[in-house]
Amino acid sequence: MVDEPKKILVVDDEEDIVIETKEILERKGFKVFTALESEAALGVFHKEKPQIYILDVHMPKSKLDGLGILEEIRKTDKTSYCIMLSRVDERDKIEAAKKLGANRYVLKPLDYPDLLALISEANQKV
Amino acid sequence: MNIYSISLLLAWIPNLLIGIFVFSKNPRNRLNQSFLFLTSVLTLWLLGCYGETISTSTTAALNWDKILYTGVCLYPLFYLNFLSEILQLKIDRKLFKFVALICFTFLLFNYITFLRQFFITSVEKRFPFRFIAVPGFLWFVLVTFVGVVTYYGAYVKYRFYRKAQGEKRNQIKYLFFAYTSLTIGGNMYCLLPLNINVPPIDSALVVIFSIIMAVAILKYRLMDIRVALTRAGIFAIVYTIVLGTPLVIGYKYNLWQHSLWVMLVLATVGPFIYQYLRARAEDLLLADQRGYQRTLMELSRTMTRIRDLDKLLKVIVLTVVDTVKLPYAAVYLKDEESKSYRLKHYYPKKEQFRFQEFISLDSGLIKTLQAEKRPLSSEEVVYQGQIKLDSGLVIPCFMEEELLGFLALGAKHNSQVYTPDDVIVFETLSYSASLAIENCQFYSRERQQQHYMRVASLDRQMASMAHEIDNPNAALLASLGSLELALEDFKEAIPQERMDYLLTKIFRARSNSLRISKMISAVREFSRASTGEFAPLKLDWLMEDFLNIIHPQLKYHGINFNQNLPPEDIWLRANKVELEQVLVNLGTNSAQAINEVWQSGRNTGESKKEITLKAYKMNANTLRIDFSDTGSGIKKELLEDIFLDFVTTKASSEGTGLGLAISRKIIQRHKGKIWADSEGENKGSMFHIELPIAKDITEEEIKQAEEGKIKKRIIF
Repeated sequence: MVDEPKKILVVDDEEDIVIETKEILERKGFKVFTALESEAALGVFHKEKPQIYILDVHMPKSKLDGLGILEEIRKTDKTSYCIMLSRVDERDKIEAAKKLGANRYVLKPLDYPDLLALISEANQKV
Repeated sequence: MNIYSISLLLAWIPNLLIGIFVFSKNPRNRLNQSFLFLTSVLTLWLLGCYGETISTSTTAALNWDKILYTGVCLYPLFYLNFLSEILQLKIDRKLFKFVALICFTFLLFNYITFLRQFFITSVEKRFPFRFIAVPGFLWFVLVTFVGVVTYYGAYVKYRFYRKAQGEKRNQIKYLFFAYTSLTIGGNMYCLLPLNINVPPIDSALVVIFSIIMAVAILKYRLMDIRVALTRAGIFAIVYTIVLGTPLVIGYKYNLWQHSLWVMLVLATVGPFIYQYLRARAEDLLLADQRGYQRTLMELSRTMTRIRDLDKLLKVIVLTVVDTVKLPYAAVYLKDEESKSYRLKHYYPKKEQFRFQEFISLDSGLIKTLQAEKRPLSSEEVVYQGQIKLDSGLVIPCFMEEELLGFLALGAKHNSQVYTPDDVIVFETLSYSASLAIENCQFYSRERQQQHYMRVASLDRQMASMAHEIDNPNAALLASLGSLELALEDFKEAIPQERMDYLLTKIFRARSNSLRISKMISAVREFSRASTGEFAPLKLDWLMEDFLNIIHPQLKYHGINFNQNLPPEDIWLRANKVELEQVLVNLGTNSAQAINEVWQSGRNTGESKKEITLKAYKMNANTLRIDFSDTGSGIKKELLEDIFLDFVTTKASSEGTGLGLAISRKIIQRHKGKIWADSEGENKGSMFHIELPIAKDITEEEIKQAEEGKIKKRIIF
């Protein structure tokens, strides 16, 4: 039986980043969903149950930021792989992400080889 | 009782009272004591004379005569004693002993009956009104002796006067005047035994002596004696007319009723005439003084408009020196940092040795000023060698109870004395100066506040700008990645070498995007408010981030940056953000200085736009950083000033003049030093920084610091 392609949800308030990331990951055979803010992101989460998440920590215009979304996801889903992206290494955010059950915390900007390495690691774990 | 006895009664009682009064003002002062002795001796003399005028028998007159000559015999001794105290002169002890010996010998002749005939033969009722001594041979010897001592004293006074200055000089003028009065009185008395009748004003002259001396001792700041005499003279003339005219009218023409009216009219206009004459006479006498007093009053009015503290102090010192024609003056201000009063400005340069730079808060000078709250003559203040004013004046500036600072002035030219009028003018000046100083300090605090607010808002802007650049940059990087991957779709269509070319271009674009991101994070870290904490810091890291921040600016201006770092790792215990701030500040200054030269075309053919940073170990404990540029340089006289608040050599729009002041504070906080060097204008400048090398950093700390430093993109 052929494996169903893994589902990835990319959430970032910068639209171009979302589009490009989606393109890169689709090229590698993933099914990629995108969202620019938390409402849409949680909609995808409930409907599609992706296995991998890439969440931007700082989203000032969104109702929930990356950590808020992570918290929602972890309420019902303990097994998915969550990668947090942030611009700055703020200690309190990093600690919070760890506590909420994030798998990775990575500084932006992410060059594509790093992105692919992270995703292939995630792919093996889920 | 006759007019003579009344005049003597009116002499000896006041004379004694004056002596006691002066003594009671300061019983422990030797000057006051010696004055009491002298007035006592004079009182005996006057008392004896008084006794002789009221005696009815020769026996009584003889006893009074003995009292009289007790005074005369002791006079030379106490005269010398008083003179040495008031002039603070050491008179030879041998001379004292010799004079004392003679005085007491005469006393023996005065008291012992069989010896007295050689001195004073007898007393007899020579004039209708009094008994008088009949001089013997020794009487002439005594009179000669008294004369010699008196003229010796006058000689001493004259010598002292020529050397004296200011307050002392004025005091001696009073002394001269008083002694002239006393000497005339004494001489007049001596005419009586020689059978020459004189009017009874000798006793009055003695009292005048005592009054003048009492004033000279008790009032520290004496009126200019010319003024005092003029006032007394005008007073005497005006009131002789006021009282004399009616008396003459009444007495001579027997028109007492008219005389009463005349007296009423004259008594009414008298004070006005007196005031008018006095003012005119003093205007003439004190023309100079009035002139500079007006200038100083004018200065008092205008100086609150000056907002720059240094300029204000300079103006005060220079104006005072110039208008009052002082040899030197200085101004001190309270300095919170050094907890002392600090020399802020002085003039002229060569008199610097007179003024110690720092005067501590608990020194005698400061305490006296705080207690007295008025201008003090330099003789009044406790020196302790902090300021050397020869007969000058110290003027405190108070704001409420706080002593803001003080002015120190040298003596006036021609050794003239500071008059009470002067002191009033200086007091006014000091009130205005206090206001003006407070004004300047407030203004400078306000400016500093504004500057900090500007810097803070700039910091916020930088942070938000970094954020704004970060996002599109991340998107750019993602696009490049996606583009690179997309090229795989064209593997067949594009020849290998063209494909390689495209991949190289994309790779270059990606690495530049990553570089932007690195710079942004350095800027963001730099603009973050400093925590003030010290942590282990490797020199290389500091330099790396400094370069990331300064590089765009230098590149934009086409400036070469040469860096020469030591091969080994150097560790500091420092605050990275703060040290970066210092280096960035120097870099920005240098860039501006270089630009200035090139823009104005002052650069020579072979000069280059160049900044060089050389860091090396001075010794095991000290890191030295030499930061040089080929810019406009610094004037020699400004090399130290540029580290002061608000001193800027740039056009006003460019700098606040706080950069180097803050830099110095930061370096000092790191227990280091920063100073500047320059060959002169347009010859570039060099800044030197010395910082202590941290040698107590443990392996553990190094490990921690390195872990914190390596910007792992994947944090966990």
